[in-house]
Amino acid sequence: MAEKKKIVVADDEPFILSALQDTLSDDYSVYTASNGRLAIETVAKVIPDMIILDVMMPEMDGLEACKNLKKEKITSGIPVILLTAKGQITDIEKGFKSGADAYIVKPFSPARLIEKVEEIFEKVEMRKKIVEEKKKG
Amino acid sequence: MAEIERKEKEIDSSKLFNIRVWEGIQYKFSKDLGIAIKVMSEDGKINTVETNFSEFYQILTSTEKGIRLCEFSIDSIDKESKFVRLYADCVYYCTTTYFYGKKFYIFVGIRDRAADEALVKKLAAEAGVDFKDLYRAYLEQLTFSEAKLINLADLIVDLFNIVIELSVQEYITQMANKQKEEEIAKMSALMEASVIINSTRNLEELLKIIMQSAEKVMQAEASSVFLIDSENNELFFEIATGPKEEEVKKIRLKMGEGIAGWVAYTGEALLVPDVSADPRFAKRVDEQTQFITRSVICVPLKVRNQTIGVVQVLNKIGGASFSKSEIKFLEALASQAAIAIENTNLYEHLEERAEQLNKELKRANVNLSIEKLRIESIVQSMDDGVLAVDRENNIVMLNRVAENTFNVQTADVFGKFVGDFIKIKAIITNFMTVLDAKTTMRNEVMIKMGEREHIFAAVFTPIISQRGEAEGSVAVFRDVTEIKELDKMKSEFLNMVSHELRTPLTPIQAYSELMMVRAVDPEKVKNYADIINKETQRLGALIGDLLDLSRIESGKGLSLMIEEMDFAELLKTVYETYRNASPKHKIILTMPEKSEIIEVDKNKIIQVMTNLLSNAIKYSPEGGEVKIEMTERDKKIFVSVKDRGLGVSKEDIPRIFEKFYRVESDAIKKISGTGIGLPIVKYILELHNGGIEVKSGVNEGSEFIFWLPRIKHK
Repeated sequence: MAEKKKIVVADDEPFILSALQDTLSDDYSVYTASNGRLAIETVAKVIPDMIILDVMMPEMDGLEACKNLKKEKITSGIPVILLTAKGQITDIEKGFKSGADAYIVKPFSPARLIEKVEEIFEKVEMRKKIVEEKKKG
Repeated sequence: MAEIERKEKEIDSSKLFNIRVWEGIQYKFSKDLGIAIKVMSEDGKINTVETNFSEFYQILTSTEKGIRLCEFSIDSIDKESKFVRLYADCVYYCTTTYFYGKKFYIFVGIRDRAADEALVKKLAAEAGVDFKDLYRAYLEQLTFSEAKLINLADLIVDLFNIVIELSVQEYITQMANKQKEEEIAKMSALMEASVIINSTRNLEELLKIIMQSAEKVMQAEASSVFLIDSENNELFFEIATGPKEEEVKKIRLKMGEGIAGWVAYTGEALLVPDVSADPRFAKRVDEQTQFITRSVICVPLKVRNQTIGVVQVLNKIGGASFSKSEIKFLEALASQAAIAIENTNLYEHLEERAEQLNKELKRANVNLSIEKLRIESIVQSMDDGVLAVDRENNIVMLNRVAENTFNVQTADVFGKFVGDFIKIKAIITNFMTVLDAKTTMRNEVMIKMGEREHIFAAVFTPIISQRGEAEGSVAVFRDVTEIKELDKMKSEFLNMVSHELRTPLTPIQAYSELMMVRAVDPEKVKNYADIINKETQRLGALIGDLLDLSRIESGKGLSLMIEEMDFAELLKTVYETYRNASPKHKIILTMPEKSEIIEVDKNKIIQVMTNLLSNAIKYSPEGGEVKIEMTERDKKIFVSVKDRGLGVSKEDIPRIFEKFYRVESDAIKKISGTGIGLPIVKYILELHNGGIEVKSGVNEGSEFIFWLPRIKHK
């Protein structure tokens, strides 16, 4: 059995953070952080396969953290999902501008979240394959 | 011929004869030549005295005075005999002549025969004078034969004719001069009248002056002006001069009555030399006034061919009658009077009109200035800035708000190019565009006032003249900074509310779904249910806050459920709830070890405490102590909630109790909050007759202290 994929999740709301953990921990190794700054620290430590960031967090919000992560070479390839309580288009736009790969609007359905996570991993796999095939070719 | 006849008729030679000249001639004849002469007209009007001033008679009478030898009377003359012998051989020869249709008798007295010494002796003795002297004088007297005497008489008649002709000529010259003078007087009267007409505006005074000058020139006893009263077709005296002025004025004449009525009726001038012979004359006027009218000239007063009255002049002084030439004069004067009447009416009318117009103008001016003042004060007191420019974009008006907005003074900028003072490109462009396109433009412009950028909603409107040309433009600037801020606050609030509602909803949805779709251990189920329960409560509290706010906003207010309770117990309960709310924070409660009975709405005070505690935790993201301290003094309970968090700047402290307000700092923006908690807290405390204050500074933590009276006074 292959090693579980690692996901770093960050949210300042303890119950949301625990809900994320409880939703994902069956299939993935989940690491938690309560703000953007701590999330970056955790990411640097574990180098996860995915990062899920709440947008509005004290100290450093999700958008800023995302931008920072995408700037760093080591972390720039890690897909980022933004969690936002705001469903407005401007916020989604802001999210993509910061380099996020997907977003999920709060409140979320755990099943939907897992689907989204898996979908992104599949995409990543496919991209890897294409890259490898190109190398072979 | 007719001319001469007329002249002869008119000229009364007896009146004209210059008797003094003739008597001078007579004197010379008698004194130097001893010839005595007498002239006598047939009608007796000319009758010279035949005194003889010769030396002979002087010696005889021992006086230088002459002597009359006989006294002729018309009746005593034997018209057929030519000679009348009288005294001391003196014979009067009588001859006749006609002049200007009048017969004259001329007597020439002279010695006519040889000397009679005896007669002279006798005369000298009778008179007692020296004979020799008398006789010498007697001899010196001229004697004429009958034939010569006739010649002499003819000569004297010629001489008389010459004198009388000269007299007539002199009279004619005098008459002509007099006529000229009269003409001049009439002319000057007319001139005077026209001058008066132009200078006097009082009609009555004016007519009086005209009539007086008419009387003077025409030598009349009285005069009057009648006007027609068209309502009842009567004439009334407008002006009456002369001795009976007052009585005359009371009289009214019917149209056609009397001379005046006749003239008024016919519109033709009338000269009546003798009224007693004219049936048209109304005697009743004379009877009423006791004036005796003899002759009248009456002419109509016409204004634009319409008779408005008559002018009449009565009785020539001295009893003569008026002449036709005087009709013309009076007509001229009447036309002047008519002009005067018309002018005066016109003038009065004009004056009235002018006065009325003047009044209207004044009123309009007053109204206008009131209106101007009103508009000016409206524009000046407007809350919006108003700035107007002319066609060249030179400033023509700006109100106080505009002065403040652009930091200029009207006195400095009036008439100057707007771009010289206002450096905001958008404004200048708008002014120009509006002027060119003649359409209204609306947009927002940013104007820096002091340190702060203000947002102004600006409306630029062209000022279009009646001819449709753009005369300039006017801009109205409304400071919408606050509205914009409020707007921004509102939309932020909505965002925050949405966020705040979604936040507790997220674990609720997640855990309820997990419980449904997964086989969760019973142990975890309890944990999940606990989370769902807590988040549901949080959601309920938030919704409660929103409802409270809306009740406060709509003016309904919050109602309190006052109950007596132990405040210390209440605090303990809240403390227990929040004690483990955040792992980073240490909640410390300090209070006296005794119960504090107080009358409050328990739930509302819990709401206050919950708000303050959750704020203390939320805004100290680094964690640390949160101290709750209760004290009691002056019959009040004080509660302090103190954190070591981000704090609030001095400037923001008064604003944090405003609804929707959230401090504009990056650190705080990252923390979710609706901006309605503190306003509700304050409202609730004030409802309890309590209050709240804040001690804080940026990064110094915050201390919220509220107080409640121990007994709530209703």
